[in-house]
Amino acid sequence: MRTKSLKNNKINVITLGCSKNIYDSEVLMGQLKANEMDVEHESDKDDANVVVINTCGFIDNAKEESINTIIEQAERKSDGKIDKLFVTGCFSERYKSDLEKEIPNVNEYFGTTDLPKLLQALGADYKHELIGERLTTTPKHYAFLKIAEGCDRPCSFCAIPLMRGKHKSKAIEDLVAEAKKLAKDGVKELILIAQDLTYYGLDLYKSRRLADLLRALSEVEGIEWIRLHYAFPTGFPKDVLEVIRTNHKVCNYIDIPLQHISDSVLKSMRRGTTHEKTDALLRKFRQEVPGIAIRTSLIVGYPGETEEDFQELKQWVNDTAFDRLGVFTYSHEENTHAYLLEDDVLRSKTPKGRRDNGITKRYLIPF
Amino acid sequence: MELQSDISYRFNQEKVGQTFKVLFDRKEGEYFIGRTEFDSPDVDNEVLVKASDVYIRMGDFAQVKITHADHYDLYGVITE
Repeated sequence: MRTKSLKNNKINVITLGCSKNIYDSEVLMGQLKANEMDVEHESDKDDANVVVINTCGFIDNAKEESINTIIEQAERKSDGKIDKLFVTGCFSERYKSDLEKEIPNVNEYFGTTDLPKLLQALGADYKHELIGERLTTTPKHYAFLKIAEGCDRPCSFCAIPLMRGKHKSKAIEDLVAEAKKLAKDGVKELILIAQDLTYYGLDLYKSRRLADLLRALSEVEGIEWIRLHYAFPTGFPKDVLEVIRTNHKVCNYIDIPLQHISDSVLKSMRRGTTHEKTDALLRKFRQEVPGIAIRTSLIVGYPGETEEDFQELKQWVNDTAFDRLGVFTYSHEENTHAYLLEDDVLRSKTPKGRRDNGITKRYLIPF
Repeated sequence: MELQSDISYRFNQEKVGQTFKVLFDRKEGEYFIGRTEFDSPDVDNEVLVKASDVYIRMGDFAQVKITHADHYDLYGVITE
């Protein structure tokens, strides 16, 4: 095995999963850079001697990719191609003890709140004053802005709260400071992300403050577009619509994961909404913000979803005419509420179109 | 053809002839590729402008008139 002094360490960070994970990797890399360490993101140069994998543990496909990546890098470690391997992120948070047993050739596994410990293992100090400082991995002109951590929603199918804990909003002034830094570095478009954008502020300010946050961010010089992702339908703060309509920096765009439309499926999913309420909300979007582009994502093959439920969903997709649409097949996740239900649809011989297809990047809906 | 694909095609045809503010993300082959405010990076539609006609810096905004459209992409020319 190669031996190198700590000083010569080169760290390659590999990120799996969603934009929230990308954000976390950027924070990690920002800290490493501030510690004057040599860090790169998903380099294919193979010149790093330390690898950090930021994993995803959301659904089947993602977990498989995480396992494969860990195994691949653990083999590189066995072969002496890298000196150290660390694993962090959601998958590691969720399955830490199993992973330590199953893939022991990893120096250490960390959870989603272990950034200071991970940095220490990498020979760096966590610098609290660096909050908001990141090494962005996206093209220079846009960046993600994570406005909250965690999620308080009780959705039956979702493993996120197991990995990310309760909702924790960041303060408006901290987010504005972060946006200013990003704008100074050339960012023109901010993409607001969180597990649940709609809930923003309720924990910290005791009221939903997304509209206020948007107004504050839109005053940051250099920022020209602000885009909203992951807006949960239930409890959607209607004052946000006025800001989207009147503030020219806030894009006429909303990403709102609706998951299903059949009342019985929505109830079992514990979404806190109905077909009727969802339609009313979408009508309000289109009335208050003419021309708004609406993106949604749906789950097919949820336990107990009948052919009738599926036809209702299909008809509704046709009638609603979303501008953008992603369709996911249900993933049966242990320790979620829906895991107690029988995973009957995906196990049965349902029509191929209903269970086929994974994440449809190009909204190729299997209808 | 999938249901959503038809819907997207219909919406895109309505955009032909209109002019949009486009943020350019990258160059790929013969095209500069950008997005309108209605599109998020990586997941949504894109606007393609022939690289032989103009030069655009990545990260710049430009006004683009849409000349034709397919299911998921719009094609256009810079108007200013």
